[in-house]
Amino acid sequence: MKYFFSLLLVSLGFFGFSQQADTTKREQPTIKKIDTVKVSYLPTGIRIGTDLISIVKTQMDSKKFNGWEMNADIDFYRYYLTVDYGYWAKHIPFKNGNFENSGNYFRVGTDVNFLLKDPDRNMIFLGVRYGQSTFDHQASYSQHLVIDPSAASFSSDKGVNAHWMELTGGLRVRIWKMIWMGYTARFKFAPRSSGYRELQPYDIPGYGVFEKKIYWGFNYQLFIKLPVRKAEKPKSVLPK
Amino acid sequence: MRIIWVVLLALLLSACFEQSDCLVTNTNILKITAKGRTLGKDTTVTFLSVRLLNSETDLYTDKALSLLEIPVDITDSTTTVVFQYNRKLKLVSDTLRVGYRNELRVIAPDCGAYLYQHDVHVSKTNFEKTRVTTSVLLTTLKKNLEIFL
Repeated sequence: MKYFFSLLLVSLGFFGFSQQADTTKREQPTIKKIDTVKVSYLPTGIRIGTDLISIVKTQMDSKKFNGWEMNADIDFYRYYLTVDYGYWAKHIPFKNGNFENSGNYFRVGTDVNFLLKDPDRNMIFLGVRYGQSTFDHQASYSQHLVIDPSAASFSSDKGVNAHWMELTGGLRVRIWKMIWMGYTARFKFAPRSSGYRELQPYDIPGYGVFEKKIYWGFNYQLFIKLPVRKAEKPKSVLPK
Repeated sequence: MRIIWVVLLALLLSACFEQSDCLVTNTNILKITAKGRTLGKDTTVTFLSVRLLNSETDLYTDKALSLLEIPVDITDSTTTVVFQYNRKLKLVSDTLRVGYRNELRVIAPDCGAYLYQHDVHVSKTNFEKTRVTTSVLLTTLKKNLEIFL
């Protein structure tokens, strides 16, 4: 990449310099059009999938975590519009009580594919997301750090809102015909929450621990790609 | 391109230092300072009695104070305090009702959850002037409220 830019800079400088020097002496040569690959922004298909980690976690202990997540993306050349929609409910015991929440969330954003010449359109991507969640939460607790059900107090809020941003990165690989697999690593940051009165959010569906202003997430996903049109095989830019 | 990787690595490392700690700063003590009505400077007043409304015992009896520490009722959203003191050789009884919002905060599973009082405000008083300096009760704060006597 570094060499590419250096070469570009040197060649542009050279080209400009040579043009300036030549104008007084002779006519400008006819510039031949360089052969370029035409880029099509028409989508080739819609990929719909689910997060396998949420399913496994729910199967392992549905009292602690119960959730699912659906993912979809659509390609526009190397750019992908992505949408995620999910649900999670958590039960988290703490030193002097218990915390519970449940709610839905969505994320919307774009991915940029850096693997352009792959014939199967496999991808290595970086992207951004905006996430938003609406949830209910509650906590039963004792002020004296001793869990005594008769002395327990209770705090709850309904319809709490939260939103955050994400930087994402990952892979999508075609496994067989329409079946794709991949993973998405999520660097979540800047969480904001509103609409609570009694209980400050501890865990936000789709985000995680609210107190942590930087939080990591990971999805391992299985997709089905529904083709819209036949994908063009990428051509080599260099002439043979 | 290299810059992007450096930034990503820096962000990754910063996440490692996001460990939560059990720094518990909640308190139900409202800190009130007495101020002179004319000059507005900190003043010491001899309170004959400082008592919570409907309480049978005094928080302070016949004590010269510039800072008063009043425990607010965490089971309610208001606490009313009655102050008795002498002004120009005359016994004065002033009332102060403070409102607040109780908010539970789970610090971390190993630390537990604690109740914090937010949005502290004066809902009713017959002091001539009061001023909320900090609207949350925390152990780290020196005062929440000023009363002008």
